[in-house]
Amino acid sequence: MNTFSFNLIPKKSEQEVQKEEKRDKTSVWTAILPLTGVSVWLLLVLFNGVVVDGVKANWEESIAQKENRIDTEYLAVRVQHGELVLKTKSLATLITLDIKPETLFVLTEQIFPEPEPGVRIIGYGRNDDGSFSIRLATDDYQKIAEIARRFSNYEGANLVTIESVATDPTSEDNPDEIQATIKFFINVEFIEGNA
Amino acid sequence: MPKLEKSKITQAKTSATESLKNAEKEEQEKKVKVDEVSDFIKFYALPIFSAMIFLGVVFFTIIPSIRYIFDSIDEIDALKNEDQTLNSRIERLIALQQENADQVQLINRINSIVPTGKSEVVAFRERIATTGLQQSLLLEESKSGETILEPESVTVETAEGFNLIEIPSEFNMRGEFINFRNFLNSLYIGDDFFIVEEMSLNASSAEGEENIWFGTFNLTKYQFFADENFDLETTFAGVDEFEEPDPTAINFLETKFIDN
Repeated sequence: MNTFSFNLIPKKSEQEVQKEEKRDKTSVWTAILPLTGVSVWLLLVLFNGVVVDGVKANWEESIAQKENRIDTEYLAVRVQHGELVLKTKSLATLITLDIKPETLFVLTEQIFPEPEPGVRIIGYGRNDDGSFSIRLATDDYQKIAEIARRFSNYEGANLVTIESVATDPTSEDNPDEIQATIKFFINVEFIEGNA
Repeated sequence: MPKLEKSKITQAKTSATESLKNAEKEEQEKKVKVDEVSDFIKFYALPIFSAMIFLGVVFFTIIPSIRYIFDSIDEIDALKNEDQTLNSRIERLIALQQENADQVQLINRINSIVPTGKSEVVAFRERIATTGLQQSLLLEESKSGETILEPESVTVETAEGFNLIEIPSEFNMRGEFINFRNFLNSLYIGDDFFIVEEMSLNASSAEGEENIWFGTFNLTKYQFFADENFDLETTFAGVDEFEEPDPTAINFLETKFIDN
């Protein structure tokens, strides 16, 4: 059987051939782009999975271990420290109110080193505002002023005031006796330093 | 027909033919352009499709992956900081562990002078009465009670559910001045923490009682009290390790109860 080989399609023009070649080259290059994109993406996924997530996991593990250590190994220390902090803070305000009652007697002895003729101490007091008071009995108003001045000049007593001065004319024993109350706040550091 | 008219007709014919030709030419050019675009699209369909896939890959996978890296770097920085904080906490806890003996001593002291739990009203009253008796003072009357201190009202800092209770007691006594002085000193150096809220010590004015004094003392003792459902361990453990115990209170405990 005879076979004939011939092309019925007309030959392409030079311009058409060039155009097709250009298209083929462009097609090859543009087909590489998605491939490159996917490759870059896969590399990034690999990098994220191996490097980034790895580093993150390491830090997370380290933190979890340390937190666990703090929660278990050091629990007793934390409880003890917390107890000390809470309790000392609760007591701090109260401690400032704590003044040894003996301080009042020491202050009186420092102001009256010797028994004062004509003056008797007939009372001591502490008031709820933290101030202290001394009640005196004398026959002389001048003496009260003098003693009040002595308190004012003394560094161990602050904010000195004469709270009351009274007489009791109905008293059968001594109707001329004047009773005065001198009120003051105590400078504890000074008194303890001089005691 | 005049010659002029003939020439006009010829001119009009020529012009019409020209405009017809121009219109045909324009139509042909248009057709060529459409064909060119159509050819271009057919020709470059694959490259355009590839470029679009590439852009899709860039916008939907590469950019999010890069953003993930930057986000992760920020997260790692935050984790590093958290790790450093935990390191400092552990260092601080090690230091606290080394101070353990001192802390235990202080806590034991606090718990003995300001106990937590059962009421101390009766025991406190008993101790005062006994001390008065030891100092030859006659206890004429005493009253005691309990009041829970509200943190806001007295600026006492406690945790919620963990309160400081005030036990105010009033004692009326009589005896010699020196005995009152010794009584107050004995109480003060004893194992009790109390505040002399009010005190009134007056010499008797009655005849034959020159050495007799009358004393009224409002003494307040304190104790801690935790609510029934209060979890002490969780509350204490929740305190920041870097928070320091109050130095005034520590100094007070050390000088008054420990060093002595």
